[in-house]
Amino acid sequence: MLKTFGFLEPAFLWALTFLGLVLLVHFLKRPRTLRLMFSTLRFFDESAVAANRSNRLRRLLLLFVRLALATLLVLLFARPFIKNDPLRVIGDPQYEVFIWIDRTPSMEYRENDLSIGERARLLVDSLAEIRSAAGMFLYDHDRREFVDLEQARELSFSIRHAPAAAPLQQACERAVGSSKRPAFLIFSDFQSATTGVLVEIMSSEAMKKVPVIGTALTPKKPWNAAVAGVSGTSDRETVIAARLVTSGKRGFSGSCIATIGTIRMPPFPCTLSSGIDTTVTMTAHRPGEAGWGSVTLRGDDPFAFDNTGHFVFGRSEGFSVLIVGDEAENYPIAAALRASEERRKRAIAVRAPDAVISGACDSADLIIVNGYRNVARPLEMLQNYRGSKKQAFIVASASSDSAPHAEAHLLHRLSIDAVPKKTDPPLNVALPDTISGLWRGFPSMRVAEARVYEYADGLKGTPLLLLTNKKPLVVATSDAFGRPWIVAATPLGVTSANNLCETGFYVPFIDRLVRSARSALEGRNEAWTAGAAIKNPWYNSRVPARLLGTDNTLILQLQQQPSFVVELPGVYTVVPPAGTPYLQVVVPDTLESRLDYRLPAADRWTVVSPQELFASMEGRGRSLWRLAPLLLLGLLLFSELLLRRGKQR
Amino acid sequence: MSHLSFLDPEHVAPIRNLNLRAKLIVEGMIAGLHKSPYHGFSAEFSEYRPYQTGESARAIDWRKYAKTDRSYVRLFEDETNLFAHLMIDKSASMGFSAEGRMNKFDYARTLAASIAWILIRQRDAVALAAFDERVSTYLPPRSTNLQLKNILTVLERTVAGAPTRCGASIDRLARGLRRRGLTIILSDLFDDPRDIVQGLRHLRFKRQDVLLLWVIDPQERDFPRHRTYHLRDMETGRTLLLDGHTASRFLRDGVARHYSGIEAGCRELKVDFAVIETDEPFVHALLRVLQTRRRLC
Repeated sequence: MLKTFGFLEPAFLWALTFLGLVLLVHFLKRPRTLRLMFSTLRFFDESAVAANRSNRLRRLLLLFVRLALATLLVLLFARPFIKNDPLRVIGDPQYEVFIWIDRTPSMEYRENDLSIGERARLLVDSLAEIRSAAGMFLYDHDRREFVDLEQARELSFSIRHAPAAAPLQQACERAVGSSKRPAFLIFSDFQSATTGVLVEIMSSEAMKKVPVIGTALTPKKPWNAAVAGVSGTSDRETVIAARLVTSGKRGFSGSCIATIGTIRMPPFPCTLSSGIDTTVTMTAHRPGEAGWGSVTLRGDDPFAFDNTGHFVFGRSEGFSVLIVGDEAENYPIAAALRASEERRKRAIAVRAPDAVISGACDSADLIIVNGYRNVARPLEMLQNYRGSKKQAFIVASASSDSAPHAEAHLLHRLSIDAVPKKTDPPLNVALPDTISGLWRGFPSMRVAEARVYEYADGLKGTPLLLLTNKKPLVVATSDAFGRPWIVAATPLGVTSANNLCETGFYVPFIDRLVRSARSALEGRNEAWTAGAAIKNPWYNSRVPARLLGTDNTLILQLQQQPSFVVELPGVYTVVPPAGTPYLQVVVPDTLESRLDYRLPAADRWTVVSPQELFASMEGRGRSLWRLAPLLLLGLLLFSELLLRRGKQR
Repeated sequence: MSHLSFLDPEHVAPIRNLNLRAKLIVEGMIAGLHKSPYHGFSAEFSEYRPYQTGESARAIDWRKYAKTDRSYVRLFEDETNLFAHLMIDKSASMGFSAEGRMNKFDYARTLAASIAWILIRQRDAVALAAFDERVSTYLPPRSTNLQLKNILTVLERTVAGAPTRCGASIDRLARGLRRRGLTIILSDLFDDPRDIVQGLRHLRFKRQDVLLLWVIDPQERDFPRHRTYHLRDMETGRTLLLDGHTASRFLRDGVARHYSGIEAGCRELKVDFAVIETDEPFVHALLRVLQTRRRLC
């Protein structure tokens, strides 16, 4: 039992001799026994004996209460702790505490006007006030080593990239090597990516015996709105498509602001419910001469680091579309594409499956497969390997009377087992959002006119459009090669499965599918991720490449380093050693916006809340010692009661 | 009365001779008073009654005869012999004393001797009964000086030592009484109040004026609380360990109940009841007895 407890202020234990004084006073005050021959005991019956017994018990109880009071008082000053409580090491001056504050972007999550990272910094300062700053070290993310907390006072919280595992591990190992009794105290929100890195570092051989305490600063009800990707095209007019994503407990209410170069477009009000993944399209009747732009979400968002997406205008030459399937059935698709705004940029070819050749498949940016009865060989080949060119696919489910086997063949590759299902009465289309420029203002009557008599049930992927029975009509997914596939649950051309092509809904519907596919395609350019190591393409080149900011300031010279890191998202100009300069987008780390929190396993880590940490530091313990003042008060009241009862008698 | 302080129990106690002790008290008391206590027992003229044939001629008031030519006999109150019974409790509990005080029995017999001394001196017939469980010693009433000597001798020789049955003893004594008289009981009355009252009722039935004196040590009313007591009953040998608070509380309550019980009975039977504590000067106690007696007469 005694081995279980230790004391932060053992000197106060000498005060336990005070117990002896309490005992002495008690025994000195104890009435002496007088033997007395008394005339009669007739007045002392059994109740007197009982009262006497209760009085003796009360006196004994009073002694115990006094002893308990004195002991408790001494223990409060001696500040006991449980030896096998890992939290004790933080308060134990014999330990050297190495503090690491997570500075990944997710620590920018703001609660009560304070980001988690700033809160962590304040907690460290408070900790240094309770426990002497001596023997405490803070990780300096710039110097990549632990520095004395006194020296680190001036270090403010600023967002850095994801924890660079190697430097942190080296710093930790140096700390363990230089300290007799090291302990690590980690302040983090424990996003799963960060947790993975930390767990790996702390599991190394050198760190195995070192106590690790994690202070979880995970938001209680996290939510986030993010610009997951932006693309822009500019010809006679500028079209910007931004993919907006909301996750967590709440939606987003605010505005979406597009900027072309330095020119800001009017705010675009947008309200998103939670769990939305949608694309906003904005147009401007002037070309984007700057060659780059951004889209920013403005509004109440606790996690704002990913609220801006940058883009570089895509190729102005447009892209080619190959429509494969029954020609008669597919001509309306081609007509709809030509009728849409981007017709001048699109090379559209309609081919029967038998007439498709490999070259056409290879050169097409977008392949739409609809109304087919068998899968063309070149298409099947294309489906089975990844070509050098980035391509997107739109595949429409065939009607039950056409070629279900061929459809199954295609969708099986995407691990989709959809079942054709007829519906009576017919279903209508339900638009999933109200903010898309494409759908906004679209008369609901017209949507109600669009009827679906047959659809493939069981499509998997991100829903882009729903039926009125909440089943997806169109989903976005990707294949094993990461190529975007957009799958429609009903045929797109002239068919008995729906009446889409007979309604005013048809042209914007086809246009939206194509834009979504293209957006997904362009969203997969080789954007660099802020904070992540990027392989240097000009490593060991004779002439260095230069990375310039938008204002042409030099950010980096790229020559000798095998990899480099760009800290901030944005648009940069890359000046290669040879060739023309080009614009490069650096995007925020999408892993950080996922709100995917995972605490380390409790086998080696001790993960506590800040309150628990401070309770332990202040010697109040984690549970029982918090009750000590109450216990003290209770004992005082009890003893007072006993004394009063004694006096009344 | 300060010059009588040498008659306090603590000063009287060293005097072994009960006769001397009684004489000292009574004489001292008389010296302190300006009026003779004998008048208290009243040798005063009461009335005339016609002489009856056969009576002694010495009883005729010749002056009255000279004036009225008729023979009258002058009657004095003290000429009617008073039959007084002194009952003294000699149970073991009467042996109790505390803090160096005179024990209750010693006090009671001193007081009894003084009363007897006064009564015999005014030619009243005095009887003595000492009792515990029963009336163990009894001297029939006589008014001679020899009787006083006998009483004092008996009182001197009697020691306290047996259990009490006060009520029964009073009752027993009452059975043997034939004549009207005065009964003075000196006891600590540690018996059932109902038995005591029953005994008193019997005495009253036998036309006795009763003076009940509860002789008690001050510590028998309350205990100091700062001690623990290992008590042993002087009569039964029963032992008890009590703390001062409990002992004091129960003793106070018990004595108060006991007193109320007896006092209520006395009031009903018109019995004079007085509490005499053993630290009270004898003269005070004796005066209270005499004044009570005057009231009775």
